[in-house]
Amino acid sequence: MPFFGYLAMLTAMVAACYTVAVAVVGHHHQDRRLTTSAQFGTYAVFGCLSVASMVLVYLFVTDDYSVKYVQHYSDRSMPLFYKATAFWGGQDGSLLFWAWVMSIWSAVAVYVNRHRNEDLLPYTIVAMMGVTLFFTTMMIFAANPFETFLGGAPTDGRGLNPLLQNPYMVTHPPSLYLGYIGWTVPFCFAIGALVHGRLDYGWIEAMRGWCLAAWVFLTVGLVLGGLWAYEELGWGGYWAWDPVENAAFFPWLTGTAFIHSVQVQERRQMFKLWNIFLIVLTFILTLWGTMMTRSGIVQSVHAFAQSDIGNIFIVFIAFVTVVSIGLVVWRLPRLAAENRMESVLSREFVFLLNNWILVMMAFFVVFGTMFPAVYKYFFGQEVNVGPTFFNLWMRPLGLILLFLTGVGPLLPWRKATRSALLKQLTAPIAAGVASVPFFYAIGATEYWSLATFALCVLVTATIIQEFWRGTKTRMKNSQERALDALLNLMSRAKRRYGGYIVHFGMVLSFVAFAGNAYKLEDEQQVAQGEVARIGNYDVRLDRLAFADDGQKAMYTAHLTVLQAGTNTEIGKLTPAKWIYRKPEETVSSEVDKRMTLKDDLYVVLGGFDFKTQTAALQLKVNPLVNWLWIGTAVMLLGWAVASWPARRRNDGPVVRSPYWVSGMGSMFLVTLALVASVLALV
Amino acid sequence: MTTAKFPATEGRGSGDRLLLFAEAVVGLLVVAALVTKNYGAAPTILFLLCALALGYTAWVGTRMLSSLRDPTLAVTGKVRDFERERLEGEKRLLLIGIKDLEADFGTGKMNQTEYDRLRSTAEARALEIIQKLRTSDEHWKRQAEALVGTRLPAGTGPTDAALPASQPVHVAQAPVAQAPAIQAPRAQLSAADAQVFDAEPVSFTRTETGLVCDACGFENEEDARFCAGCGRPRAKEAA
Repeated sequence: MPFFGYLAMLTAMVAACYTVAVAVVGHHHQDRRLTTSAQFGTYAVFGCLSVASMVLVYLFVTDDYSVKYVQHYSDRSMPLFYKATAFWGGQDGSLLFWAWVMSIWSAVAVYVNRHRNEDLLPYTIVAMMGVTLFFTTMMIFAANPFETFLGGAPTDGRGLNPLLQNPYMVTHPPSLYLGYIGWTVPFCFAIGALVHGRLDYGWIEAMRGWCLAAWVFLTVGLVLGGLWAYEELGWGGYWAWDPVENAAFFPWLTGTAFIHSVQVQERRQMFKLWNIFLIVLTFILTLWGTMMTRSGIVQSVHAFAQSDIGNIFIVFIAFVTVVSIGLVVWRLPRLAAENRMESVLSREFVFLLNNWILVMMAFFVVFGTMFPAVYKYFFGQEVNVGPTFFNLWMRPLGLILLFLTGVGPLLPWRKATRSALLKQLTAPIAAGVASVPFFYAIGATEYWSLATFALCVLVTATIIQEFWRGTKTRMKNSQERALDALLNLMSRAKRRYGGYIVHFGMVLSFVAFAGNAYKLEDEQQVAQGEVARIGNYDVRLDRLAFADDGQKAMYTAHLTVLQAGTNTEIGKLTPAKWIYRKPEETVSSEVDKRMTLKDDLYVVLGGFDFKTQTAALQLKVNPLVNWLWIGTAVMLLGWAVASWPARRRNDGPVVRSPYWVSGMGSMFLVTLALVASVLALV
Repeated sequence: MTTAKFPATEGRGSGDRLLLFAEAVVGLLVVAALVTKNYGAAPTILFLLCALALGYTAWVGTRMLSSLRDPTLAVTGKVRDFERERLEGEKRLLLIGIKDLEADFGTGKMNQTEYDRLRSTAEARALEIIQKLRTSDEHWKRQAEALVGTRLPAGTGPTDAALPASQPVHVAQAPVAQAPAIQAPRAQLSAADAQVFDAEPVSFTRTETGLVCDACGFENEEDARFCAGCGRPRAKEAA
């Protein structure tokens, strides 16, 4: 069976080579037989990699420890669900997962565009298959997930890292990969457009939906990763500027700039060079992030083991960079803007600022992430770049971005008059300024958080104003009732109002970020019946309990949460320490928390003495943290509104958007997350 | 040198294909039963998924290779009117832009003068494109009629003719008519232009899916002020 999987990968590599060859020849000879064959070649690569992936999962599920990868990341006592998802638990399997997802996206992109962008498709296929070929070749020669033991196979496996046996770690990698790899498709379309020379809005319209899908998957992946860190790592936070976290953040920043910047090309035929630059940069950053997690360049709890494939990635990144720059230089005349910016008081200028801010943020994050590795290479000394550096730059840039989120939608294209601008900005700015004494009075005395809250009020006011004025106009023009007018307004301008909802989700996330300034932390030793106080909470240790499920020994502290200074019970918590038999007596802290909209009471069981029933409790209060998860859900809702398929028209071929792909994908992820959570609890 | 022969669909009856499919399914189920007996449900499901993937791969692989010898694809050169598609795309963007202008004006982001200027420029360009597309349609219609005329003997219908086997068709790019200069008011168009582009208002009929132009049948948005298909302005509805 392992050989069958290896054969499937080899066939995928051969099919990818064939597809690249016929696509190039077919395009140059304008031969539809060859270009059609290339399309089916893309589907065949998807089929082969699907076979290889199913075989690997089959090997995990049937406990075939003759395969090294299965033996390293599974054992007989693991639940079936985690056995299946150990597919992407290690380096080799995650590369196969990368290649498989790439082949899925490629096949769907080719199928959706097989009629309406036939001219762009050949070189787009060349680019997509080129990337797939890189990954399959690397797996075959350097990271084979089907490699077997030469001698006798072990009878049991080492087991998966307990930190990875968590529902969020089941959904976080697929979502992240779907996002990462989703950006490859627009990049490949850009390459196709550059080679073909058709650099009008057509190529952007072809893959705009992919960008939204990739963005939403990457956002969800980042947040799921934050949720995992919050639940599993026990330090009470969700983002530590860890290098591997940053690796997923770089392309998110430049991708966000791209999905805004393309609107300028759509409306004003400007920013063509910016858009090409942004999509190429986003793809290169996804490769860079993938390389960082696999090369050992950076040390991280998320990183895969150190290996030599980092050098292979660097060569590929260099190749992609050189080819992209060469194509851009060749096509520079066709990338000239067709219009000029008429005023700084215009939406175009705000988008330009937006581009600069996001690219600067990406630059600082890349710099801060790579600095320790570069410094060590040149000077031989270890240095650490921590949250202090990142927060120093990210805070002001983030606030400027938040301000632009509010002001941008209020400006028209081309030029705003001063009177119109005054009319648009007066109410939101007044609301923002008026909120400052209110927030100060309720305890938000830290300046950065105070500024954040005020800007959140300003942005929320602009969003409400936009909905209100739009509904009022529609009620007047169409004689509709308020609710009908609002729904029809959103239906007629899904992208605009869906975008506003996404912006509101961002506002809620900034509220959560601002709450970090008021965190409380303490560690207290308590005996049975004693109470520890933190903030507005008293935590009483009722008892320590022991259980064993065959896979691990579990020591659980049963706690009662009381209103501070009273005997009013408001909750129960059960933080625990789990000691796994495999891998080798690994200990994991299972945190528990009481979640409310106002704050989380977060408790970790530190040291304990089971005989004397005493425990050391690490207590934290995290204000407003749950607004981050709520904000993400609101962003998902906004994306769903913006991506809802347009109604079919009778003017020729249906411009069927691929949004349904991302819709199905998101439904799949949400379902997977729910199923994972239920199965993990059962 | 013998050429490889791939399974052809012609010559195989639907009965043969059904039998082949049934045999494959039975064989798959037998193996699946053996896997279930030894390993359980989860491996069986994966085995079936793997078999499905393998079957799909074999099918697309066959198509991939048979495309090379598919006579219906033996067409070289451009077979699509890319200029027309570019114009259709630009028209689509202009209509989106006009909607945006209306929204921005309705929410007070621009004054009346600026709105009127921008809107009339966008409308004029959209109408110019519609006119170009209409001209192109007329050209293709004449080309198609001429082609049919040369292929058919006089007095016979299409079903009587022995149509030649597929041959490579070289498609000439349709000439795009020189459009009149951009003019904001539609009333200034010349009489010659009016023959192709009629500026008379036209009524729309409400259907389940939208508003259909009575002149050309194009389906428009609820608050469209002119037909996006033929460019004629919408007639005011009786109160």
